Amino acid sequence: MKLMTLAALALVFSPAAFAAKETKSSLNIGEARIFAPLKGSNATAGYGTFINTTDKEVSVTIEKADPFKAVEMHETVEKDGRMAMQKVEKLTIPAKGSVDLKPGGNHIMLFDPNREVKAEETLKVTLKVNGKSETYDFKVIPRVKPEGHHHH
Amino acid sequence: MMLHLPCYSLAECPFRFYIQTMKSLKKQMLIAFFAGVLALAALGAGLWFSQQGPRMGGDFSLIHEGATWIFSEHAKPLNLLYVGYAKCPDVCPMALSFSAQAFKMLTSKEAARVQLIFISVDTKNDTAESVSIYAKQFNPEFIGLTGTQEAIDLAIKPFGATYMVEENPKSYLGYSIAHTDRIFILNKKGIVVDSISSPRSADEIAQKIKENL
Repeated sequence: MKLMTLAALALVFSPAAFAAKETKSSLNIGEARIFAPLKGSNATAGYGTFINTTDKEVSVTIEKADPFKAVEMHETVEKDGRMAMQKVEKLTIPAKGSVDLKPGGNHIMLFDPNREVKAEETLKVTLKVNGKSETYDFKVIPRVKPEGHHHH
Repeated sequence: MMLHLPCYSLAECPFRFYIQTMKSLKKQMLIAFFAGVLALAALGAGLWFSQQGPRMGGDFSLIHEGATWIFSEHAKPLNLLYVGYAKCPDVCPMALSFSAQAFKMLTSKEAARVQLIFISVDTKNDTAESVSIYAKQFNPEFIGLTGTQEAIDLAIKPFGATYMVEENPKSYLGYSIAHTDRIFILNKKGIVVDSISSPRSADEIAQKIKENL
């Protein structure tokens, strides 16, 4: 019994356990998704909820997303009754807060994939969180849900 | 036969001058009365038209897969019209995918009476072929159109749709197009009977189609 407690304590205080706690990301992304690119267009969009798990502001910039040639963050804004887009260099996620990347607002823009990207794939997107590169999984989803799966 | 000489002053012929003045007054009152009736009628008509909303829309001609496509030749009882561009990553594909989902909510009888027309205003980057391929991926029946800048401007103006090509050197694409984000619902004559602004849902689009069919 004593031995087991010791073993458990050793495990808790082991460097590995500490390391795991330290590398825990300050940013989580909920519903990370990218729309499968369409023929006739070289641009598609990605969305998700960026959640700051820390009690300090977190800055996020976008680095890369293979196999896309370029990736940027943009915001859709209404200008003179028209919908316009402007590039966003950096997102700031408030302490313990979140920023929703959603249609008609902030979004990730991805250009010119160098291979065909299909629905159901998972792509790696690299973001810079407080200047540190971190990779997140984004699921590729179809623009129109296939027959038999459509939403009601 | 009596000779009627005009009277120019009260001193010359007081009685006749009085009669003449009264006659012209009566005429003036009659004119004023009719003018009043006309003004009221115009006001009424104006009010009635303003209640009806402005009659926007009309026929237009663009290019579909390399051939001339005239709205009046292809019009269905109900026609959804969206103006955008294929490289638009956010608002256009959302409008088109919600519309495609909405079409799936219709009965086959309803679906046969409605179509969606997507007009690309990106004359530099979209061709009649590429915009048609683009639109069909949302629904094989969706019609993608484009044309010369003059033809596009002429086609979309009656609907009150506008766009503006904006240089964006900081972006990989180098440009973006600010445009009206509205689904116009047209009758068979191309007149706007309803429209759906964003944010919108597939349910809302389906409901608007059913209401107007």
